[in-house]
Amino acid sequence: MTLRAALVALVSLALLPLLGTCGDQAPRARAQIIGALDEAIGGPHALGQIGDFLLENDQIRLVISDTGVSRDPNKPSTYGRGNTTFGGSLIDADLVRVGGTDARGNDQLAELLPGFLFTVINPTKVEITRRGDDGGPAEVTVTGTGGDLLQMIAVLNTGLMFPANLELKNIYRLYPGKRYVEIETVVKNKAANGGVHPFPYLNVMDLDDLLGGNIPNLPIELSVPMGQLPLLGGEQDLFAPGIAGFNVKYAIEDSYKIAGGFPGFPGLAVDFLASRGIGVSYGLTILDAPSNYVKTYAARYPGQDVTPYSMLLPFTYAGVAGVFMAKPPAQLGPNEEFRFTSYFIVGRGDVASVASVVYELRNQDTGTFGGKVVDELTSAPVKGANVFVLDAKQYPITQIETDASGSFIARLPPGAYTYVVVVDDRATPAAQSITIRENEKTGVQIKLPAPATVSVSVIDDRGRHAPSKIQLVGTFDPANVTKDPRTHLYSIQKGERKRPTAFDGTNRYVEGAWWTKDGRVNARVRPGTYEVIASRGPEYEYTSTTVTVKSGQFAEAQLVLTAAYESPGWVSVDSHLHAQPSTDSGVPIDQRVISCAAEGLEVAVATDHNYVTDYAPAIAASGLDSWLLGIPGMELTTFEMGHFNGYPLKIDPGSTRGGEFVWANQPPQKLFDQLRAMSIDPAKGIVQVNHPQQQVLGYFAQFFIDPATAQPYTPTGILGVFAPYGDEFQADKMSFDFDAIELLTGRKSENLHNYRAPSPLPPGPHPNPQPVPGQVVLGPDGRPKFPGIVETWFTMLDRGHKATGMGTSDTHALLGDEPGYARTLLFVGDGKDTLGGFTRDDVIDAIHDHHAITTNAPFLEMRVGSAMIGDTTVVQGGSTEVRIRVRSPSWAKVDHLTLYSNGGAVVADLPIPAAQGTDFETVVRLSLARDSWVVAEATGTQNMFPVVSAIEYPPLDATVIITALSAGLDLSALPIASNLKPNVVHQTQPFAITNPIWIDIDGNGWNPPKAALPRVAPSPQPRPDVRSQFEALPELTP
Amino acid sequence: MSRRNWRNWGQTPFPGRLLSTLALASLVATLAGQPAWGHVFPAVRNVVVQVEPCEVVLLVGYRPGTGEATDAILSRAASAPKSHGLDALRDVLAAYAMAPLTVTVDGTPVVPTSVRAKIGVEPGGARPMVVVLVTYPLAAAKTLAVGTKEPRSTRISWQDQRSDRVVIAEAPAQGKWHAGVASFLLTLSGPSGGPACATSNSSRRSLPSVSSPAR
Repeated sequence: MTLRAALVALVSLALLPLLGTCGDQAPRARAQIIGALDEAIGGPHALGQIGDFLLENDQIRLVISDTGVSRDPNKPSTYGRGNTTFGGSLIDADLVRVGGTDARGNDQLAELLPGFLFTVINPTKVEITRRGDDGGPAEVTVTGTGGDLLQMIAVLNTGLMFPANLELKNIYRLYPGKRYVEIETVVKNKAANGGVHPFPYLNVMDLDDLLGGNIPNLPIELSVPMGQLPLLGGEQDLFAPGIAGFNVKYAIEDSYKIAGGFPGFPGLAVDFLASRGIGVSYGLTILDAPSNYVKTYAARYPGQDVTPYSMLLPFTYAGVAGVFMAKPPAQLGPNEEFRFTSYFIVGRGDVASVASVVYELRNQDTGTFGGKVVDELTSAPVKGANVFVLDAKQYPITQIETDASGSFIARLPPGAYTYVVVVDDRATPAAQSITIRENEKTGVQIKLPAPATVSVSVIDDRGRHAPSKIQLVGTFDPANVTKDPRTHLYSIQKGERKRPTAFDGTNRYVEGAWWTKDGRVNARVRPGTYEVIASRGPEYEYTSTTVTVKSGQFAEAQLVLTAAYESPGWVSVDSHLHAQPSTDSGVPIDQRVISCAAEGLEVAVATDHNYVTDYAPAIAASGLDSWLLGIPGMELTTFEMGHFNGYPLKIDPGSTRGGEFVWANQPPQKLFDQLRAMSIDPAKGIVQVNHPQQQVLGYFAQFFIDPATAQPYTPTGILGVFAPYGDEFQADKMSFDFDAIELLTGRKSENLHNYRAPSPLPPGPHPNPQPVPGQVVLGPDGRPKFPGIVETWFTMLDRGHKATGMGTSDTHALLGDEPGYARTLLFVGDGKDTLGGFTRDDVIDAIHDHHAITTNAPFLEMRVGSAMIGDTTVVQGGSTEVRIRVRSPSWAKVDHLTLYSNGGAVVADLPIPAAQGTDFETVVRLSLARDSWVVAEATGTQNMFPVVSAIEYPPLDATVIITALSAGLDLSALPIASNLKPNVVHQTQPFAITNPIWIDIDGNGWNPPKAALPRVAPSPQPRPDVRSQFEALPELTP
Repeated sequence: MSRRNWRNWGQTPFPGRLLSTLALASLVATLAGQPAWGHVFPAVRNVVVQVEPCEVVLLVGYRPGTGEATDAILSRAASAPKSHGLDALRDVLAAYAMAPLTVTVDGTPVVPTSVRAKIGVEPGGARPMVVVLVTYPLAAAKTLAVGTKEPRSTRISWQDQRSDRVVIAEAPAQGKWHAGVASFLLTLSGPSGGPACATSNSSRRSLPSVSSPAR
């Protein structure tokens, strides 16, 4: 026996115990209704509460929510308690933890629910159908009718599904000893005498009529995909074996390009779906079945590997994935039903623990691959290394994570593979070959190159170890500057972190970033030469030094921050922040608060999706009390009416989400009223409209607000077909009863102003008539096709509505999505912007008083006489001077200043000399003929990298998904389907805009230049005359 | 575009004759006996008060509760000659609908100037229902009150029909249902509609009893 063979045998023996099940209890399964909260599952996304259904065995625990419909007439229904509208979903899932049922748990699942295209179950009943006390499986069954997941694409449900007489059922069946739950989904035609129910429901020609004759190339065949809609949570990285690996999102986009067309919906065909997370992972698979959707339409997925187990992934967005696996028969006869089965798996944190269950379900022969990963210099075990097993095409088929002892183990189908170990802070060694044989164990010991260590210490201009951001900026081969960095700099497919590039034609990129509470970091990094960058938000310049580190070596750097400008009386606020309580964010709260302080924020408003979070405990635990004030709040998140922040909110300790509220099917005013009712002081609570023009998720976009009138209009044509239909979306339900509105959200500068045609125009096709460069691009109805938030806000100002303009980050992550960009500067009072010198009330008052500047770096001050931003001042006669000063760090120089007034008119348009890009002051003289508002805006063209990175890849937004799912339908009228559209991929450039100063020229109070906008929608139109109603009634005749 | 239209789109609408046939069938079924499932439903009375320049109009929708109330109504209707069955049912239902209601102007009960009723069957066909349109004169006054002796089964809403008679600022919200109230008060202001009212009122004084609509 060679030394290597002996070592392999030894490793294999050592790993044998890991192959057993994790629990030592006898196999069992049971179902119960949760009677006390401590029976539920804990964890970052745990939602289960009393009255929900617990399904557990000796391996895993699951919670299925109740119907959401209150049986108590005195209590409201809780539609939308999970992430989607209806109840009856799988909302929590975890392994059985050490400590049995007393363990708190680590649920990271947001939700799993069946999807019949985009119809979901609106449950009428959730019940335990088998308790499991007979030693068999335990079952919870959800029964209901169809409901629309999204009203906007209800036309597809209507045309293809239309569940008028369908009963929809989901049976969650948990067997003893298994780490999966079997989900049997049943669609039954309940129309005993009503005839057959066709799929698709309508003839395609009828559907074409419904869409206004927009389906080209008729006739075409349509299909109705059915499956599951998993929301796996922000901590979970999606994985699909094959070309996608962890690159699922972009692989889906690539699949659109090779789609074979209807009747197969476009998307990525995957053999199974899995995820990785810290301590728990999830998976979804099916068995071979004749109703397999992808297999049925295999010819429509050219260039993709179609297996007996293929499932279709047409989209993943904001944590929601569509996984369609079944094709129903062409029709269901009376009382006939269609069933399909899927399996939801709970893993131990990596893909391999999910995949082993997949192979078990399929009765697939396997062998064992295991080993240990150690540091080549110290032989210390490497924890958290990712061992990827690659197929013959070098595509990953699984990912195995090493434990604290550096060990890993997985089951694999017999075959020849290669494996590679990927760790973000070490160089990646070359791939090695292995052969897996049935029921045999293959063990390896892997030595990884040692990382380098960089130790950085940063002090500020007062000598303090202040919170700061430390980054390592490297350079890549200049030959690759024109290439996609995903192809040479990092592999998302193999789960490496993104390394943002400068995106300006240079070869700089960020190798790593650390947000520190005290300016100190000891980081392990890949060997190389780096620029060490220290920064602390826009009020500081960044400083840098260069270090070169080799494998196993150590380098240190000491840096001193210098102030870029002082902003006495003003504090930096980010009122839109996400952390782990949000289903689509994996950032722990302690890291979130440290990142806020390191980016120079002084106030952090917690706004997790439908979860009231308080940062105060994490701020205190991090020792950041003197640097950061936390304000508890929430982003009330609807599916398609928009997102609204409320703060400061009370925390309800009895609620699993910090407070109770209802978001589904509610008109806006009710949403606002709920947020105010949850406020610590309902009279002062802030309601903030977020990203108002974002398609699907923006309030103004969904209500079709005309920027010229700030009023809803009725969309025509196909836009009207894709408009939400609910009563809550009727124009008279629009409410302006909010206090603040996001003008700049994150780095999405393209949404600021009405989109104008660029010069030169991009290649056609163009709208007819073709716009001239510089002109606002209009839609067929003559309105701006891509309306700007600022223009709409200007109209609101014209009409007397004083919503405070805000800048926020809407951050969900860290690197590439930093907090504080954008942010709001708020004036809290002279001398009060000191550590501990201002209160939460000062912040809230400043918002109510409009003492606010939206910015991603520049500090833009404006005064009229002694009046500051947000004030109303009397200027008898209307002749006055507006004094403006803008300061900015040298990494965000401004080069243009614009002063706007009534009607959005530009009253001053000034280039800023390059030498004054960090400090520019001017006076603009005005002669006003009537009461006016003035707003100043400063912009620059400098790339703010490396402090703020670019948007390098187009976000996969909901409209792209809708377009993809509607492939074959002509959606050219949708704003996205044109070459003339805003560029969503760009560098981050300096921007700031003030709130107004209102100038009253006659001393009789400030009067708006246009008809006042009602803050609350006017009363509904008078009801029909009762006499007419009576006359219209039919009369019963013998 | 309304989604509801899409839902109905492509289906054969119920022709009026078929609807009438189904309604009659349901009525027969109702007359024949109790609902099969044994649930008990309370009576429901919806009152819409419409204030006009010269008159106040009540649109009263009423469904008797299951059990004794319906039995009593049906037995009274059944005791009428067969050819007058529907008329009898209409009269009895209208009487039940209006029985607990009072309309007073400045505290004085007012007498209807017209009463019309139509009967139908509730969706699902289990119970008969009636809709009654009652008009009252509205002279110059300070208050208009609609009261009910059965607040549990009655809900009231009101609406102004270009009357300029009601002090809107003091009135309950229009178009909203107010349930469980014993009386519903509207403060009046301004004169009545002038000469036009006199003509209008006088033309309806001869219709004090329940009338079925012209066929």
